[in-house]
Amino acid sequence: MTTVAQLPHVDVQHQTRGLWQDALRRMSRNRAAVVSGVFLLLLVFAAVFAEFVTPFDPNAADFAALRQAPGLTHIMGTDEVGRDVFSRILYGARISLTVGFIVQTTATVAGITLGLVAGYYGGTTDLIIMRAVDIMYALPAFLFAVFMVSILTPSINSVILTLTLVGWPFIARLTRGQVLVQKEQEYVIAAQALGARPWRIMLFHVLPNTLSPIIVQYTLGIATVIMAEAGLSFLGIGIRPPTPTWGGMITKGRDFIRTEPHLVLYPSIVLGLTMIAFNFLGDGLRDALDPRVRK
Amino acid sequence: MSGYLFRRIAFILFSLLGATFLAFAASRLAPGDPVRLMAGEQNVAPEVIEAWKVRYGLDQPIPVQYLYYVRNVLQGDFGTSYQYIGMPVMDLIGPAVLVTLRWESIALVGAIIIAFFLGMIAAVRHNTWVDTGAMFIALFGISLPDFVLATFLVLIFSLGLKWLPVAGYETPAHLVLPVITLAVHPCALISRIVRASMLEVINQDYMRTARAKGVSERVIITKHGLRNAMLPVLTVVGVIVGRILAGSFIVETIFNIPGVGRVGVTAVLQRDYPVILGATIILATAFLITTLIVDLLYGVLDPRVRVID
Repeated sequence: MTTVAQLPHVDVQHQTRGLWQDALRRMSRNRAAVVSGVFLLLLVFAAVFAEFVTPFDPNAADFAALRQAPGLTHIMGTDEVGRDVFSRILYGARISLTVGFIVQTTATVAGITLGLVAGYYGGTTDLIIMRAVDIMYALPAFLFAVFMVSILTPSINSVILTLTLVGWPFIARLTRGQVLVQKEQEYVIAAQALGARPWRIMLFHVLPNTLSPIIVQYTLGIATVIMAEAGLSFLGIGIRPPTPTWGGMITKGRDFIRTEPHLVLYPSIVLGLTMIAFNFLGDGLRDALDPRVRK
Repeated sequence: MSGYLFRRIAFILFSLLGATFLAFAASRLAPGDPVRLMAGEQNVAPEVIEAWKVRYGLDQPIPVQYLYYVRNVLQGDFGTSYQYIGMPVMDLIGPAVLVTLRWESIALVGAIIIAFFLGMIAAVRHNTWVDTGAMFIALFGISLPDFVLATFLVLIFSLGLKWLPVAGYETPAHLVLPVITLAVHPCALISRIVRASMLEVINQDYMRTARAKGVSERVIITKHGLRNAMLPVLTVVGVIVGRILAGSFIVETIFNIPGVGRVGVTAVLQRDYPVILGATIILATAFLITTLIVDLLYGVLDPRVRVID
């Protein structure tokens, strides 16, 4: 009896490992995705160790060095109160990446859970969860975010809460769609016949087979979240100054766009590059994980 | 078809009521008593406050208040602004909606036309530098946030080359940069989809048959290919309209265009809840009506949808 139960289990593991190795090999051949991955790793590193990368406090005003052009001491110049732009970009990266990872991780876990439950159980459970998703879809995401933020007190927590609320329905719908396909497969029926509990089937059998599109969406979603956070801060309704945020720096910098374009240029470039990197990485992952490309 | 139509409309109404109820309840739970806000700085007697509450139905439970609100909205009355005392929300939003509709429809139509052009060229020249280049640029277009793109455009075309005005809403020249800013993302997205669906269509049997008949390549691509490539594009039009509507917050603020987006952002900064709620409901309704139209077009263009449903 034990041998019968173990055999398919070992098989699945072998297959899974092969799939990921395959995907990794395909990823490494995609130059844009590799460069993007390296850039993002560097960005995460610089954000985590910002104190060691730059000697300047991002919030320390220096009235002897107002709106300086990029030079040797301040490699990206200083802003209207003499704060070092490079330091503010690094500490801003900390905010952006933290918000991006926390929101997207929470939204993904919530979305996967609700999507799995809705897809696996069906019936009333499915109906309730999916109608909630429909209602969330009735409002364009950024519109909903602007609305939510206007009601909450402006803070990083409000932004995280709002963007998580906006993010989960997409993942839930994606997961549910995948589960509906997987549910009919023989291996699920086999697991059911062997008497496995629903949560066990969902977590160890269905979920691993639905992961590829979710991983892709997770990566692309981080970019969307960072963009939304920057957008809210840009409009002045997200994270408030003096906390350094890329969106906030770009807004403030626009006041000096005629005389000191570097104030708006550098944060824009870094934000743009980050977005592009996440998108190229997500695209690379999609190509690497999508079985249809594997011809 | 009529069953399909009925189900779609019922679904849209359900979503709209659900979303507006949530928005309404949330704005009522927001900090700040509406009546106090309406009274402003004036010292109003407590009895008057109570009388106002009864008059505006604010003494009722939120679901009842919501029903009142829906009744008023259906008559075109979105209440009055907290910021500009006594000013109907509709007077603030109404003209702004027209402005937004006008300039954003240019961006949408332009984006779709150019996207079809780019996507088809990329598909026909599959795996050449034209294809790779176009798709590389498209991924850039998808990635860049509106306000980063707008900043670069202003730096180059307004401040550098001095070809176009920096901001405002007076002449057609004022609309060039905002339209480009808003159009780039949907254009990039659609061109990728057009390319993908063209590539799928290009090797179908009916395309080969057409070629064997001696139909010219141009006619094959535009007549047979394009028509079938349109369906997948239709599915994302709803999403794109949603993004464009939400994008009006940022782009209208940057370019100082007096549309719904700018009115909305100003209202958020002033905590003017009736205006925020009105703008949200109008944008959500516009979005859902588009979704409905897309659904119906889908039913018309693809007979299979009607049968399955």
